[in-house]
Amino acid sequence: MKPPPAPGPLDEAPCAERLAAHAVTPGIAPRLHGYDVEGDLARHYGLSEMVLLALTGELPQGAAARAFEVAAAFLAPASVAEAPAHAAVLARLCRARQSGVTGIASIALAEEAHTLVAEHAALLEWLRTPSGPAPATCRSTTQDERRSVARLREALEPTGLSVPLLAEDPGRIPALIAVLHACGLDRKDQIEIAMVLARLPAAMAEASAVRPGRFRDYPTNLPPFRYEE
Amino acid sequence: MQAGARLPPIVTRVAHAGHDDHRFCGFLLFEELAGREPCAGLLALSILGRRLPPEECAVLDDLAAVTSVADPRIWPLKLTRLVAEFGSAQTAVAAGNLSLEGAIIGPWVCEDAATLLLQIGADVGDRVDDEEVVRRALLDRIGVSHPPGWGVPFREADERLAALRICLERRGRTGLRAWSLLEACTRVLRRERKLEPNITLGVAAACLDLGAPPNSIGILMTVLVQTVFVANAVEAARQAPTVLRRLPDHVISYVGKPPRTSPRAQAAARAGQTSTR
Repeated sequence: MKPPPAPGPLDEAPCAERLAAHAVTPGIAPRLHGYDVEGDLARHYGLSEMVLLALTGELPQGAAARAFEVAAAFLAPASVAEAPAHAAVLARLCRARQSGVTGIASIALAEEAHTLVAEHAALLEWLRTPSGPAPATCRSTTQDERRSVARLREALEPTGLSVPLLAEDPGRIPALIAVLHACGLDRKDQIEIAMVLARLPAAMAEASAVRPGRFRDYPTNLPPFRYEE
Repeated sequence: MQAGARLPPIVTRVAHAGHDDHRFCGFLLFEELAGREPCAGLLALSILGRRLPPEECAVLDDLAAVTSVADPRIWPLKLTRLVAEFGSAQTAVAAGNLSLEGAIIGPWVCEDAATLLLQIGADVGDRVDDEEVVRRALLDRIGVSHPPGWGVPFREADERLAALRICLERRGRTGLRAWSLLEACTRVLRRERKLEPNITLGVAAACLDLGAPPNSIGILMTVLVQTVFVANAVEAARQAPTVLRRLPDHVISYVGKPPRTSPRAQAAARAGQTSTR
């Protein structure tokens, strides 16, 4: 039998003794960024305001919470044609545990959001320091997109939130990123998280509608694959 | 005509499921691979797209062994155990793996180290043995920045790299180009910057000497170090100690915003209401 191991680098290196909490106080009367969750926030604020508080550290001012709800609604429809909902459907088809289905949808949505935000890095830079026209890559390319952005403008109008990009013929995703930015989500990670939160319920709705094990009902060859050597 | 047939096909070189046998990366699964190809060989085939001879498969085994440092306090492994607290080892392994891609520790750092070695190798051409040429190429490449693959936290030298060197010496591979470059660069940085190489540089060199392109090394090593995740996930899922599921309050230090009352709660208090919603 080997003797017990001698102390190693992780035993000897200095490190913190406690885990730091930055947003939520531990214990049975939790506070979120200083606000009493059960005695204050739950009584006076809605979920979208709680989300913005969690992500930014401050309660939203003015029209931001309502505008955030509009943007989230526009982001919400994660169709089964899109990879995150499609992946969740396949997980459910395989009779994966519900935590697995939820996790798969969340991972795919997070990847999708990360990619979308990365593709619009120039827009985020412009939103931070707007000088001159918005990047050309933000422009709308189809009439369908223009109609969607027109509906977004109409939905936002009652909020009175100022989103200058909406006047520059933006594409749908750039417009939604600009709205989230105007709501106070000015970092990439905040926008990615908001996108995942908005889209998860619809993706899960597609998955939940699938009957596990009904492989014949699933179009295995959509799209087709061709094996080559 | 099926609806999907109108879509352009996705070309795959991975596999096709047949009736009596299946194709895998250009080979018949049962006839050519089963019983012949070791697990490391199948891994190389799936990532590098070619079969490795047995002596090169053995290098993958060496890499897996020397990097299987599975102390549960190592950060990605601790998060694996936190997820495993709820009873699923498999989900925990997936979570641990998610923590690695693009991270500042772990297998993916090997890609940056491999890229640097390749760049220096291109600069020095066939003069890997000329230390002054290597020195100039290395210092020109890294400038004043901290080069990937160097630096050993908490200790003076990386014992994993020393173990890998012994394995590769036994296999007669320390004279190969990338490893020779590693040694030459190490002599320069040890002398001029007091920097020691770490295992990521050794992995990078060993993989380059296998013909692996830098952008394949992160995923290759991720698969090779699965044991460290699996061992922790399996044990943690069985143990599920409640202390990890929820740490006691007294070991948490709250450093966030101080207690405050929301504007609506203040307004409700003034108006004598219970809710402003």
